Amino acid sequence: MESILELRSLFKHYSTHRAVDDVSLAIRRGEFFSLVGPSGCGKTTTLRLIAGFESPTSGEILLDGQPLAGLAPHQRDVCTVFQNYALFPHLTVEQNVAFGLERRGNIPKKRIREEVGDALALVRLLGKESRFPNQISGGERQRVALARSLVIRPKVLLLDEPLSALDAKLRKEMRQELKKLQRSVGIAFLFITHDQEEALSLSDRVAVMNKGKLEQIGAPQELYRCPQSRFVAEFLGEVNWLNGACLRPEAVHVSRELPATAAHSTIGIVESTTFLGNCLHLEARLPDGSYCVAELPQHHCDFAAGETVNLWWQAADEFRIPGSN
Amino acid sequence: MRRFLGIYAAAAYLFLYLPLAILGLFSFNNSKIAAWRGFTLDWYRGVFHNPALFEGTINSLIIAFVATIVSTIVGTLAGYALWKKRAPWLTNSLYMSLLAPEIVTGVALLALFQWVFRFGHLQLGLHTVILAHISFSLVYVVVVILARLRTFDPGVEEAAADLGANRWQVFRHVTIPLLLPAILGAALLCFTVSFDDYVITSLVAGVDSETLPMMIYAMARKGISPEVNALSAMITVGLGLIILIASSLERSR
Amino acid sequence: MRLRHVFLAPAALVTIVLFFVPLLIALAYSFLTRGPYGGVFAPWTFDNYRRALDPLYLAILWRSVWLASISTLLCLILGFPLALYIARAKRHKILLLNLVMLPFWTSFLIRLYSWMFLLRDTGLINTLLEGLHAIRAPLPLLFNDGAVVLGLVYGFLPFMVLPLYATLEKLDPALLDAAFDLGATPWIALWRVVVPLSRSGIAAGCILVFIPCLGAYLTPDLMGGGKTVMLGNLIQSQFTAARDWPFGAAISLLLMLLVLAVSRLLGKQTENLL
Repeated sequence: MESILELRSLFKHYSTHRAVDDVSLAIRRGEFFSLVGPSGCGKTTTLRLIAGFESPTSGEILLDGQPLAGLAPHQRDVCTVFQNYALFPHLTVEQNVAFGLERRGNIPKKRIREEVGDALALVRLLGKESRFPNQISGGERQRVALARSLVIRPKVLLLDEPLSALDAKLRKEMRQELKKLQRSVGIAFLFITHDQEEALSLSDRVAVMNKGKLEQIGAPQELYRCPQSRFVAEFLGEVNWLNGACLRPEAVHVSRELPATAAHSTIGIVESTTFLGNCLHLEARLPDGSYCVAELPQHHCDFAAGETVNLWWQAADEFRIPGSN
Repeated sequence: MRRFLGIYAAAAYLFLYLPLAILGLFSFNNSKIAAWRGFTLDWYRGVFHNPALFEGTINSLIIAFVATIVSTIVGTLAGYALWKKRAPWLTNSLYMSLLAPEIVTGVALLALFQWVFRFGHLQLGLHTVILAHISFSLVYVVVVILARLRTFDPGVEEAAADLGANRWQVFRHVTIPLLLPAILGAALLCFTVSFDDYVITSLVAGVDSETLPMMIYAMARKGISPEVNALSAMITVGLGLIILIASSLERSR
Repeated sequence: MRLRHVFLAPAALVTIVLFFVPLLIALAYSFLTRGPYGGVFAPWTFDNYRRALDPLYLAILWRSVWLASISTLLCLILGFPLALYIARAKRHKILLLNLVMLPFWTSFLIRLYSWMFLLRDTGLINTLLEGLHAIRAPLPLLFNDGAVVLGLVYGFLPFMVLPLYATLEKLDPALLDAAFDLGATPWIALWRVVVPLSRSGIAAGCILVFIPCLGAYLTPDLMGGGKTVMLGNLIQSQFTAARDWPFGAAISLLLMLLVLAVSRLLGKQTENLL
């Protein structure tokens, strides 16, 4: 069996709306798979359906070929890392991590100790075993949650926006750690996030969700370069709409003189330039009244507002959205 | 304005505590009248050597202990179930039992017992008082437990289930340990409410099951009794301590 | 699913058997007739309820409502500044609040007794005043309506303070600052800003005080000495001295209905508090 987790035509209806609307996807063994979309798009609901906290209105969930229908959360071989970690406040770090193993009932204490030690070493949290959750930092709590879920070796690890409670710098650090961790344990990760940058940087494949429906599934580059819908195009980055073609800002070049190699071009009047540290965003007004955003290397900051410039791009950088004009 | 409020608040606290403080003071008064004649522990000794008071205290304690244990268990289970999924009919009924004047609950229970006694050779006694106390103290337990549960992160229970604990294991290993301070707090609250009850108890107690409040009531109606002062002081301090422990338990963690 | 029913069953049992069934039996009794030596017998009749409308008993109803209203109003006037003080306190808010509630949880009976000790003819106040030769005969401080109101206010003041504190605590201090900034005096700020915004707390406090006052038994009994008869005393006398259970049951149920009606009426005001 190729896929470790498969969703087939999954539906979840509430009286007011459809949270999950005909979602089908298959996650491969050992894959880092992200489910990304704006708040309220149904990604958390999907995760809860897989974990067993909610039941689907219709559709199937198969884990390693076996249907999960009717199984309670504790009977499913998936494990969740919750957004706010949900660590047991009355247990130490060590006891938290040991919890799942203890519930199995037939594992000797010595073995549990070893496994817990290995798990804590994996997340680099050795030495904090006897602390309580309220005595460690947010980043450390997140690692305890990871260790706690990984130690029972689930077939798939579900992560519900695990980095959203961390500050920006910590978030970037944890991203890399998470990726390394997944590679070393080899378990498939289903990673939920609303941050497209996270999804694109971490995943082998990404699924974009909107209002309960799956918009597109594919590798990060594929989604970014060849979005199949307007929503996906705009969700994963900025898009310029020029005469029915779409361009990413970094594909638009700006100069005073038009080079001979420029395949397509237009002129525009500079409206504003925004310095972003590592790059510059230049907004220009085009003759037809629409706007275009170009991303320039930060040292090209000598365009003044009101100046007329040339904007040009290569044909290969254009992409079209099927079904739109 | 802050100063005015401060002075007013001090006066209000004085109003609330002064009568009890004076009572406590005069429990040491070496005289039967309300004029200070010196310090004595005679009245306290009198209380301890009064066999009727002793029996009344024992009755009150037995009733309070049994009612507390039953109410706490029943109330905790119910509170937990109500937190998971609302049951308006039960919540509204409990709310009604809280609103109902004690005199109404008391006479209704009396009517129940007398009606039931037609079918057997039963009489009013400790058992009827215990049942009555369970009836009115249940709602206190449910309120305390629900209040504590509302501060719970439901994710903690979900995480436990996710890690392989079945419903019973979740309850035993996660919910109860986290709920323990609130359970103890509710139990202590139950105890004080039961120990102090007069109205309902006086209606459903039999001849042989007089409780301490009933005795205090009788003595209070007769006139000033310094022994009542001493007894009152002890009870007030005792119940006050229990309440302080209960509220600190409720606030812990 | 089943576990949930197991958890709810005991509480449901207690509520039904020890609360609803007694009320139903009382309801049945209220339609029966009293026997020559007490007890209840057929025939079924509306007489008890008709008797309840007798001016004598309506007067008791009126007195109960009147005393409960005065007590509630006094609790509101006395409790509001206290609640305001605690809500605006910089530190130890919970401690101050607990100190208000603590007396209530000790012993209602003993608290009433402590006032009796102070107010009786042979009580502390009269003894002091006589000792200072300020009065010649003891002042009748106890065993009248005033003493009952005092007892009710003393007993239930904490119940007014608690919900008032809850609303006042949520009041944004910036609103008061804005009022002062716009030129309001403290008095105006109180009436135009604080009181309107604490409406739900006021309503909740009034329910929590008015209802127990309405059904009070112990306070009018001890502080009123049998001279002040409220509905609670009336009911109690029917079940003991007068041995007229059917009539007592009828009054009980009417009192219960009254309590439910008041809580429904005032309860609408507190929906946003909860």
